[in-house]
Amino acid sequence: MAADMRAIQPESLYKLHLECEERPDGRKLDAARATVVTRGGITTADGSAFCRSGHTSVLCGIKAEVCTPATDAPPDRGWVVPNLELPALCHHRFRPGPPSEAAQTASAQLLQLLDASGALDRTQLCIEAGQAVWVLYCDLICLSHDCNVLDVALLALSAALTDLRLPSAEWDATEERLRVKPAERTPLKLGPLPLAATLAVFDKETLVLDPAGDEEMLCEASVTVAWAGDSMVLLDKTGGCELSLEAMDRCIALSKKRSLELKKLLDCCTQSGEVEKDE
Amino acid sequence: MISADMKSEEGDLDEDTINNFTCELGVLSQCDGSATLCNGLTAVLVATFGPVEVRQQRELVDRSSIEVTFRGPHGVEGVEDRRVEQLVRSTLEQCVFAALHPRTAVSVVLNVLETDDLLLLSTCVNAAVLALLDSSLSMKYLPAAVTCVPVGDRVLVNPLPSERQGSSGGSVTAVYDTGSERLVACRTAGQLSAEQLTSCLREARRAAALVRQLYRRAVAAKFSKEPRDPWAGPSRAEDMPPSWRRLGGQQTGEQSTS
Repeated sequence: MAADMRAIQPESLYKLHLECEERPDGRKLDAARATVVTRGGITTADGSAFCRSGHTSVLCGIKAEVCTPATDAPPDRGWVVPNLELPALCHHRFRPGPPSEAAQTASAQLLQLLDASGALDRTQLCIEAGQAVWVLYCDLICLSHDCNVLDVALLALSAALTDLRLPSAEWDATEERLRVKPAERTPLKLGPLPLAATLAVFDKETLVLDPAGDEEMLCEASVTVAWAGDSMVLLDKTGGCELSLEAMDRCIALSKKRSLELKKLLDCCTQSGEVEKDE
Repeated sequence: MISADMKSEEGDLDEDTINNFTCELGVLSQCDGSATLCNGLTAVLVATFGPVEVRQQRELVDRSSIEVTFRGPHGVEGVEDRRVEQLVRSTLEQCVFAALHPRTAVSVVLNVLETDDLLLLSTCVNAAVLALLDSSLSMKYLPAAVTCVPVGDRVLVNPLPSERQGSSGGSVTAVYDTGSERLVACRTAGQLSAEQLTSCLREARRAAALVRQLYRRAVAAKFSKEPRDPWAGPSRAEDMPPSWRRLGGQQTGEQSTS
């Protein structure tokens, strides 16, 4: 009967779940899915991480290339190019073809989050000012889409940045060429990394953390809040139903709590270097 | 041309708060609705067509499909433009009475003439609403967008670059339903603390009421029978963005005081 109702009246079925304060997958309203982070899975990349939260999984690989610095920017800055791909294999609503609007906006959001958090000082990517800088191509591929891709992608990107090891490179001024030693590698010095939490809004007041399944489609609005340490680096509520400021305050508090959990997970992962689970 | 020379009832917010909010409706002849909005150093021109025929893949059976196209002031289109389109489209989807026009599309085209990046999002939203007002499309409510920047203990609304000295780089663009005073959309940039965000949102709620009054004046001016000089911009030439001065606005701007 529940399966029939889900096909015909999914909103009503979901509202029944909310009245019992339990979601279809058994979680409480403010509980997130179990998250797993694995670093270093791609040996051919300079840094990589795989992050899975429930059925949503994103793989991030970072390749560093050398480039001349941009002419319209200071000559001692490298740059970072995050690109999230939502291929047809991750969900039936994505078709093969040019990047969808969802993928483009997510890629832009990831870059804004990295910039706003100040996690990566671009001068670290400089090899020789005016001659050679590193460009980090961060390719994120969503392998399975079960809502809330941005949070998982951001976690994968942050973990991959901690895994990144840049080869040592020197600019030889006499010969005017670059000498790279791929065997000697150093990690980056990173500031507080951005970590996001998304909440779905139902009935204008009920907040549900980490939407999954039908929740993203059924919700009236969704709010994404990203934190880097104690500073908020993004609050994005694009459209959807109207929210009172009191509901917004609750979103902020819930997302702060979730970002602390994710930070603990990321710190454990960085220290131990192994697979880390957060239940 | 409407200039922000009015006072709010509370007395705390006045014309300087909205900073040279000059707009004009009906500037383009070939589209259903159009508007230009100049806010500080940001100027946006919007054209809207609709309801018009929709492509089959975008057709919605129970309502109109809102399509937003954004063209930045320079450069090739990038992923950042998609974010602006996403915010404007999701705001308009909520406020436009789309159920009245099923199986059609409403197309909104935003062209940026000039920008200082900070006020871009709020100017785009407000200009789109003005263009839809010009096209007489039915709307459930009027959203109003403002950008707030916390500087020290204060919150500045729609500040000019010179006024932003001392800010830590964080800003909040908030779109409010001016009727119910609830938040429709919000996007932040840079770093903020939770307290700064809350005070910005509250200040934006007050400022959105001023923007709504400016909408009323814009529509009233459109239907007034007084002769209008379309190039009568802000009364001080130096308040106009450079592109408007190049269009010849400077000469008339110094003469008229509209």
